Amino acid sequence: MTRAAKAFAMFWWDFLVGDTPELTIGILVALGAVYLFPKGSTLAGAVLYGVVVVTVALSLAIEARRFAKRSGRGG
Amino acid sequence: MSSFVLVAAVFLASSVEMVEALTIVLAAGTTRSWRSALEGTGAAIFVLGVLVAVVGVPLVKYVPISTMRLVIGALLLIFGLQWLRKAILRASGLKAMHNEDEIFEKEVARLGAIPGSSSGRDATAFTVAFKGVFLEGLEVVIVVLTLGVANHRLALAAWAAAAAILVIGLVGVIVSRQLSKVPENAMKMAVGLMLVSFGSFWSGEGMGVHWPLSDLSILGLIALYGLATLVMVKVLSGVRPGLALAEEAQ
Repeated sequence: MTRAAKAFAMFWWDFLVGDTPELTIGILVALGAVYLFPKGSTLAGAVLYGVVVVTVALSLAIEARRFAKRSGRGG
Repeated sequence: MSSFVLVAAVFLASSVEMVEALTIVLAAGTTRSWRSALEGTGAAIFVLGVLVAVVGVPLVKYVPISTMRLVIGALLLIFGLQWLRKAILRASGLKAMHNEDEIFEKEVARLGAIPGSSSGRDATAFTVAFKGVFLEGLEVVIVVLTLGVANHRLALAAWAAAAAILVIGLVGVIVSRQLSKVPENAMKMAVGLMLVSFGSFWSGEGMGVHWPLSDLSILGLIALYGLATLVMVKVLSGVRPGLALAEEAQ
């Protein structure tokens, strides 16, 4: 039972966080930012879009940096 | 309009996952036993279908729609961004392309080395096919459940997934080992864009965001995210120009 619960928790952890925790954090920040706006706001949608784009751009920048480091090491 | 995008998103997502599953089934069928591989495939599809019905139907019936849309929107955003990120990295050459032919060859070599069974059924072929289809299919189940439940069109989403399984199965039989010809990364990018757009729309709806064109805003979001994706691919291609050119040539 414990093993099954652990496997279930691991599945969701891998699914929601995995090796890109910055994406999950970014989405939470985006939703938190939208929450600050009053209901019926159109600007909140634009903010959501903006934070999502910045999140994926940051995640790609992290990967590009890793790639550059690997390439440098490999000569 | 959102029904069309829903069907397209589920169909493409299911197709991509089924191409990956098909590689494993073809390898198990070719090296071990077609009958057992197909039985494993059928069993996995049945279990996945039961999973959609058991989890999806109560969600549609009993959970308030605004809560559902917020939670599902957030899930779609995370899931979609993971797909989109990977597709951008592959398109710009920072990550190796998924090569189904290479995976097929490796799987054939691995399965060929395992001794055969004396009885009519091959347990290895059944298990490998079942595991491959079930694991790849889990992502399809999540896409069907999230998009189907948030749109209140679970049956439509399930039919779109079933159609994709059928089409990819037929294509698999026709093209056999040429699965690398399937433009998998472009499909993944399209799915990622749709999932992120749906995710933004539903999570926004769940929190009371006003979308100017109602459901049509989903198309606007796809276009806007598509534009941002193009810019990111272009910028990242500069980091690795050689590989980017190779990708364009494909």
